[in-house]
Order: sequence, then C-alpha cells, then structure tokens
Amino acid sequence: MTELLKVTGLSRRFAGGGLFRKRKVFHAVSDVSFTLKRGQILGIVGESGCGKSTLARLVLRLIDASEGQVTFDGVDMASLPRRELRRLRQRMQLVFQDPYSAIDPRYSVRDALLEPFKVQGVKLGSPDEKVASLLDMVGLNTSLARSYPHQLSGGQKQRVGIARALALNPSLVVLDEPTASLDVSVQAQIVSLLERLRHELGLTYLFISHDLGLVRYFCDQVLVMYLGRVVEVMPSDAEPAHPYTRALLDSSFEPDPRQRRTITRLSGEVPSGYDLPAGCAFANRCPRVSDLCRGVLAPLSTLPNGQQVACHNPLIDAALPAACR
Amino acid sequence: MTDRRTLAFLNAVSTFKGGISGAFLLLLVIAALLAPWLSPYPYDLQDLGVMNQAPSMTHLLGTDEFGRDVLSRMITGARTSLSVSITAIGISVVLGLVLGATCGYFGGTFDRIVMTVVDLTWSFPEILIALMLVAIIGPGLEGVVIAIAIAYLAQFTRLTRTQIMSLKSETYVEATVSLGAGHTHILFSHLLPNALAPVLVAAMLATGDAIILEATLGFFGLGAQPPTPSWGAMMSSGTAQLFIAPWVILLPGLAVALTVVFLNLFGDALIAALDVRTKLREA
Amino acid sequence: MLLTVDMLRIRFGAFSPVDQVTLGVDRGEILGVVGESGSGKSLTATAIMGLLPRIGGQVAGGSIRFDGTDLVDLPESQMRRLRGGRIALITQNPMTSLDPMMRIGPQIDQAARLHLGLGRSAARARSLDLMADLRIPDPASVYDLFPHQLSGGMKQRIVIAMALAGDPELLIADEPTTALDVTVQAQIVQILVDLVRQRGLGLILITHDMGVVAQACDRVAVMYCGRVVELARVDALFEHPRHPYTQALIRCIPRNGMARGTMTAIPGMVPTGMTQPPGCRFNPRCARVESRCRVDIPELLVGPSGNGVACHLAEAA
Repeated sequence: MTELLKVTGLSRRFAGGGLFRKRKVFHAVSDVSFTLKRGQILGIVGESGCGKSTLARLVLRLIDASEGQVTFDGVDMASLPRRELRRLRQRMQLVFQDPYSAIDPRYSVRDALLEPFKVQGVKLGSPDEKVASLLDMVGLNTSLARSYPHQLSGGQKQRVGIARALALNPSLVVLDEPTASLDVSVQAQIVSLLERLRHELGLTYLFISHDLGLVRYFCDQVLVMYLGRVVEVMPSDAEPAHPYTRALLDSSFEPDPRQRRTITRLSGEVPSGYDLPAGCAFANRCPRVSDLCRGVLAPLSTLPNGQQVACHNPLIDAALPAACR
Repeated sequence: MTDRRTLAFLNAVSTFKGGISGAFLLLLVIAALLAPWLSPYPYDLQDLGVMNQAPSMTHLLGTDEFGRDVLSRMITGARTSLSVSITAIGISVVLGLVLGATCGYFGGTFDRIVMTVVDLTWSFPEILIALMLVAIIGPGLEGVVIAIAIAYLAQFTRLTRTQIMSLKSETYVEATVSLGAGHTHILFSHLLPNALAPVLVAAMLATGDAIILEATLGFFGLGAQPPTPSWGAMMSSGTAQLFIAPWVILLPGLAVALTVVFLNLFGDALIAALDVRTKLREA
Repeated sequence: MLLTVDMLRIRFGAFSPVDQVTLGVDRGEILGVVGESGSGKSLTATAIMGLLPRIGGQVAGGSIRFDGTDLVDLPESQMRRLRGGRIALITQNPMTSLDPMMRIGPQIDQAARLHLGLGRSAARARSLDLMADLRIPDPASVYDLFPHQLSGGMKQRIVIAMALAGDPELLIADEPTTALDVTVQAQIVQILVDLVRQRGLGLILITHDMGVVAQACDRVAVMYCGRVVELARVDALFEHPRHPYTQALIRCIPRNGMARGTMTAIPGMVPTGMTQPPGCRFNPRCARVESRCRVDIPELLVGPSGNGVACHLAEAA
C-alpha cells in the first residue's frame, strides 16, 4: 500500500480582535501531521471547535496553511499554481455536513451532477446517461434528475452530494460530518452506501466526525484532536492511551442498558483557542494531570504497539498488547 | 429556478395590489410604445384658435397655451419619461452589478476605493448629484439619462456587493470551489443569478424615483427640449397658466404620481412574492 | 402514575401529526420518548405543557392526566399555575431559552418568586442552592453574569436550574443534550438522572439517541410518524424489541466492537406530512410487512406490565 496523502506540521492561525481591541491570534490547527494510505479510512474526531473542519479544508487547500505541508500523491499542494490546483481538485473531493445548503437552490439535481464536468471542461457524450448512472450509483431513482433540492429529503440530498463528489472519479474523498444532520436510520443508509462505494471504486476516505462510536465503527485509524492539536492516533479497535480519548469514549453511551456507565466528570472548562495554555491544553480537565503537563507540551510519541499519543502520563497499560502487560 | 421566478412573478400579479398596479403599468407601457398611433393629434400641432381650452369632446384633456392637445402630449410624454428612466436605471443596474460583484467577490484595495466613493455619493441627495452632472454634461435627454444612471449607481453597487458577500460564504459556493471551479464560473453560475432577484426589485422601485427625478429636471428645463414633450417639461410650461388652464399642469403631475405609486405597489408585491425583504433591508 | 397520556390525538386544521399516543411516567422514574424527526415527540411534550394553542394546534382526542387532573380541559388560568411550577420544561437549545439581556440569577429566581411566592432574597438563596446542586462552580459570581459569558454546557445547566426553581414534580426535557458536545452531554444526562433519584421527580426525556435512552431511562416509548409503536421497560426493549421499527432502529446504531459492514440500515425514508401511508405507518419500510399492515391501523395494546406494542405481528414476535 502506498501513501496517498501526507500531512506534515500543518498549522493555521486566524487573526482576531480589531480596531479597539488588542489583536489576538486564534490557533485553529496547530502542528498536525499524519499519513493516509491508499484505500484506507482515517477518522478525525473531536468536539466542536477542535479544528477538524479547518483541517479538512487545509488538506484540500480550500484555505491556505500558515505553516506545514500537504503532499497528495507525491505532489506538494502548496507548490502548485492555481490552474493546476484546480485540475488536481478532480482527484480530491469534499462531502459536506449540511446537504441542505451544499447544492445551489436554483440547480436541479441534473444541473448539480453535470456541474463538475462543466467546471473541469470534460465533454460528455450523453449527459443524461451520465446523470442516470450517477444517480443509480448512489441508490437514487433516476426520475429525481429533474427535481430541485427543496423537493428532496435530507438523505436524498446527501446522496446527490456524494454522487456529485464522485462524478470525476476522485481518489480521495473528505467526508465532513456527512451524517451529522441526518436521522439515525438515514445515517446508517449513508454509511452503508459509503462502504459500498469505497469497495466498488477503490476510494480513500478522510472521515470527520464528532461521534467516536461511529468513527471507530467505520474507520481503520482514528486521529483524535483537541483544540487544534492531535492528541492521539490509534487503530480504531485499540484502547485509548490519552486521557482525553478515554473521556470521549466514556461519554458516548452504548445502546445497551447493561453497559450503563458511571460518568467520570471532567472538571473545568475548555480553554479558548485565542488563549491556549503553555502546556497540554487538556491539563485543566485531565484526571491524570501532573505538574509537567501544565508547563511542557507533550510531543506526539509512538508507543510500543504503534499507537501515537501526546501525553506525559498515558494510559499505557490499556494501549499495550496483552503479551507486554 | 426559472420556473420558480416565473411563479413568483405570477404570484405577485395574482394579488390585488400586484394585479391592479401590473395592469396600469402594462397599459402605460403599451400607450408609450404605440404613442404615434394612439395620439388623437400630433403632439406638436399648434392650433392658436383653441388656446387653453378646458377638456371637451374634441380635446379630451384640453389644450395648452399653444393650442396643442394635452392628451397627445401626455401620451408622447409617457414615452419620454419611461424611456429615460428605464434606460437610466438599466445602465445603473448593469454598472452596479459589475462594480458590486467585483467589489464583493474580490475585495481588496479596489473594493475600498469604490466603497469610499459610494459612501461619499450616498451622502448627497440624488437630485443634487443629477443637477451637478447635467450642469457638466449640458441639458438634453442624453445628459438626463447619464445623470440619473450615475445618481443611482451607488445604491445598486452597494446592494449587489452585500448580496455577493453573503452568498460567497454559502456552502454550495465552497462546494463549487472544491470541484475546481474558477472565478468566472462561480460568479456567473452561482453568485450573480442568486443575487439578481433583490437587485431587480430595487430597480423597479428606483424606476419610480427616476421618473420623479426626470420630471424635476424637465421642470427646470434641463431635460427634453421643446417641442419634445415630457411630463416635467409640460408641468413647467403649465405654471404660467396655472389659474387659467390648471389641467395643463395638474394632469401630467397626476400621471407622474400615479405611475410612481403603481411602480411602488408592484415592487411591494414582488418583494412579498420573491421574499427578498430581509435581503433588501440588509443592504 | 404521576402523568398518564391516553390515546392522545393532536390536530392542526385537518391534519393530525400525532395520534394514538399512550404513555405514562411515575415519580422517581425516567420515561424516554425516542423517535426520529417527524415522530411527533416534541409535539407530545408541547401538548402536555398545554402550549399547543400558541402554535395553532389543539388536542382533538384522548386525555392527559397529571396527578388526577385532566389537563386537556383545564382552563388556561389554572394551566398557567402548573406550567413552570409543578410541570417544567427544558428545551433543546439553551441559547434561546435564556434572555440575553438579563443576568443569569434573576432568570432563575423568576419561577420561585412566581410559583412559590418567595421574596427577592429568599429566591436568590434558593437559586444559589440549586446552582450548587447542579455543580455550577462559584454560583455567587455566575449569578451576576450574562448568558453570553457562559459555555453551552453551563447554559444548559442554568436552564435546568430555571426549570427546577418552581419545585416541579414533573420535568419534561426535550432533546436537552442535542446541541452539546459529547463530554458535556454525558454530564448533563448524569445530572438529570441524579435529580430524579434524589428528588423523586418524574422525568420525560425526549431524545433521538438510543445511547442516551439506554444510559438513563427506566421505561421507553418509541414513536414513529406520530404514533407510539412500542412501550416497554428499557432492558426488555433492548433485549427483546417487539416492534419491527424498534428492532431496526437498534440494529442501525454502531456499537463498540462492531465490525465494519455489520450495521443494517432501514430502507426507505420517513414519510412526511400528508403522504402518510394507510394502515401501519411503518409498512413501506418494514421487512415483515403483510397485506393487513397496509390496510388496518395496528392498535397499541398495553398489557398489565405496562409494556405494549402496536404491530399486527406482535404475537409472532
């Protein structure tokens, strides 16, 4: 397996404040590195404001990075001139969280599905056939081609969004919370569809979600973010080594009354991205905090089992394979 | 959406307000277009034997101080008033769309310069700007058209710019960027079509104001030059006979008032049907 | 039972978005009302609060009995005394439940002053106690803050404190954690569970999240397209779901340790508005549908145990 995507030291800061206030800097994404192999699914999980959506847009270069590098299939994205970047976009696509606003309300389903070809200057022999085959691919009735977005349900719109993203045969698809605004039963449909399409088309997914349970079910690897930084990268079936990942896992309830949890209370508030503490950003809420954590940021280091964690006091036992304990 | 826009238009016409005003405006436009055939007399035919006659069967709306038929002059005057204000607002809208879209989409120094000028012109009343411009260009219909177009340019530039700026952050625009679309495609296939509805409604309302402005300039003798009639010029020449032949000044005034009222009513009906109220308020 | 809703039917003009809703909750008990969008779970809560007329609806049939009184025919003046007093509502979005122009403390005080007749200082003392109970750090200084100065989780705690200020016996929480992050959601759920256990409140917890139901509830009413399709104790519901919809709903949630590809989706989509199918409303999506399901509306048959299911095939299940 080869690397499709390599991200190194990616950061993005936004300037805040204004005329009368002190200028402040918002650290949306700080020093993020990871690699994604062809055919893999990497999940990026974190709570609101952790920078996961900004990271998605940095990877696709929809916004420019303050620092760091994104290499897509061996090509450094930052080095590309605008024209070539636009050409490269057909190989990397984005599916949005809110299918309600991701399609121009003036566009019919047909218009929306043909737009990628128009934009990339691809001539189609039979546009109607193409539309029909795209609709068929995502399990929609071909008669929907003439509908407008406001006539579709949320699940149908998300399927159109997926068909549109796949129209140009991309290699990488970034899924930005594709099921967050859908009902549970529809979420399962979309996830199954994404599974099937990955098999059929050999896609590589970057799956962004706030739902650790869903990410662990759907992804091969999980990258956990907290306030713009990576705190842990682990195989999706591994036990968490970072106390934050642990807390996240303990907070998501299993649909099984026999597995009721005692809630371990996280004290303290989430710090603001404008005003990050010197040490670990999770230190003020962490049950395993030590003096070192408050002063020195732990680097992302690799545990014996290959799991990566940025913590001075990781839950090592959990992360080690049984034989090593 | 073409369907939806037609539908909105039909909805507007089907309301009481929209229907009445739509019918009046339609009649007015037909009268203006067919002026040479509809007028009972040539507009410049002088008959000094029937000076300042009150409305009668031969001259339905009476005659003026040169014995010219007021009805014929009003129909031809409608032609002048409408063509001047519509042309002027048309030019203003097109320029406003181009300037506003460029400013709103690209921002930067160009935007800052244009917006400073727009803000400056906005602090003067339109009539003052138009008067200054006519003074520079010289009297005549071309001068009036240019003056009105420039007087309203600030309004359309600002409205378009606000529209484009808010549409720019819509998810479907980001979705199109991520497909690899360039600026031209985004502007012409997504931003401008979605920004158009409120601009068109504002244009309809501005046309009413432009008719008043044209009449005012005509009243000052800066618009249509005799013998070409315009409602403003007719009122101006009627002032001398105010007590002898009040119809010469009152009837063109009434025409201006009615046209403006019905344009505003129709604009209101369109606002309700297209649901652009909030967008207009934002701007 | 503290509250019993029996065969409730809600009407908006000619349209009945909710009918055949039967459920009940006792003191010290948590009833989960679970369903997807359009299931009518929020409308049911609105009906219990007597707030339907404000949104143009009305109760068209059935009864809502609270502690022996039928709320359906209760005059508005008496309903107003109950609302915010003995029955309190916690809404989904804490941002819109708080007045942005008013300090936190006085907002909590309101219910106590209105319903318990407390004076300014007594109400304040009570609010501070409540805030401490909800583990709001440093209540005295939070009391003087404005809503925008608090985080989402903290605001939701304030909304809960407001609901508790009138000393309610029944609390209705409509998706109280949906707008919140997972770690915060867990804490709010824990707070609600503790409240019910310590104060003996009855709680109706409306949610779309089967995880929250499993974690917190004692009994569950599953709603689909305006009807209660199953009513059961929580352990029975998850171990032996009887309605095909409940079964499918449980199967389409990813669980810990589940292998990729093992989640089964429910085909089709939730019918909306006027396009409700005749017979059982789940029939177009049901794997076990029979011809009578397309014609006859299955009744919710509640047994002596309080469990019930609205399905023609329930005996066979």
